[in-house]
Amino acid sequence: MLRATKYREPRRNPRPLEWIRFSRYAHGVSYEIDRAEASLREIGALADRTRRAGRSMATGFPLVGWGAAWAAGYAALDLLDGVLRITVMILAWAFAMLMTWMPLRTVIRTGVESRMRWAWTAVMIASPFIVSAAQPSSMVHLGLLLGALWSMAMCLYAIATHDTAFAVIAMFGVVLAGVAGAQEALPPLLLFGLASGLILLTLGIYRVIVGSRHV
Amino acid sequence: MSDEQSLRSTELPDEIGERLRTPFDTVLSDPNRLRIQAALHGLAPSGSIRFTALVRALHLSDGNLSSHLSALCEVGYATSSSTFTGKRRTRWYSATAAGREAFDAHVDALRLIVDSSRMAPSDNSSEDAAKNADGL
Repeated sequence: MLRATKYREPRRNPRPLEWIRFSRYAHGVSYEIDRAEASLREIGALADRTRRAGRSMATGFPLVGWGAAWAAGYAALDLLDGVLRITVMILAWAFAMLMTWMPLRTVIRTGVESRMRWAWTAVMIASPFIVSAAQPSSMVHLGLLLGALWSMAMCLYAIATHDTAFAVIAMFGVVLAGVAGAQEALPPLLLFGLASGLILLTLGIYRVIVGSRHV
Repeated sequence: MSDEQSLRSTELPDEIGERLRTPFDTVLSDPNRLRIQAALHGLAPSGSIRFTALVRALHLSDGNLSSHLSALCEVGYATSSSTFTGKRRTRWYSATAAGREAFDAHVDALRLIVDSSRMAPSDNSSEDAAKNADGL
């Protein structure tokens, strides 16, 4: 037996610790510990790199678009009137749609792009029916209800894709819509639009930069 | 403490020793293939990445990457697909379920080696144990 012979070695060996060192590697594996550690570190970093890049590419530009659209659109609802208000809202929506669907030269695909498109179409189709069912008492509450609904849809998408930062920010939007509707100190739509929109915009810009840096 | 008892206490548990005898995945034992598989592993389960993006991420030459990817595709750890924009062909690569499983198992084996080396007593404590065994 290999071990039995090793037990007797140390007493006569001038370097009695040799057998202990040997016993660690005496299991048919010649891999060095340092190499294994370095390898683990490197492959962990590589997997993390493509994970971040994929996430950034899937959500970066859409977040920039919708963040800017919410900030501008909700602010316009509160601060502007007439044709100018409608113009700003249409421009904001068009910008968000462009950022979401513009044909980018994507280098990473999630594989669920088509399903996501259908899911968002379902949310958009459902929105007027949900508004009709809820019968909000004013335009302010209508705006906040839609903001909360779309934030919730974003949050569910983020949870499904294990995107913690996006999930937290989207959930913040839902909570903010509720708080904005209940308080009277600040214009509710402006508060909701700027607070949730700018956070989405910040995350989007960060991801666009990160995504371009990683791959 | 008897000689045998103190010496036995410095050995790895039998269970870990048994797992260490399990051979590594020969395909993933190549460092570049392991790096490629790691990059594919980071993608979403149904996600894929362009060949050119892999070249940039891994800093490998086209030929080198291509040959390693072929080896991974051959054993079923990765899969490729192509899209065309006009006449321009784009190759996309993704990890298969078998590839993800093999990668996880390989990483577990690597981690086991590192963990078991940490579990084994340091040289100082081993020296103490040896001194005790010698009755010093």
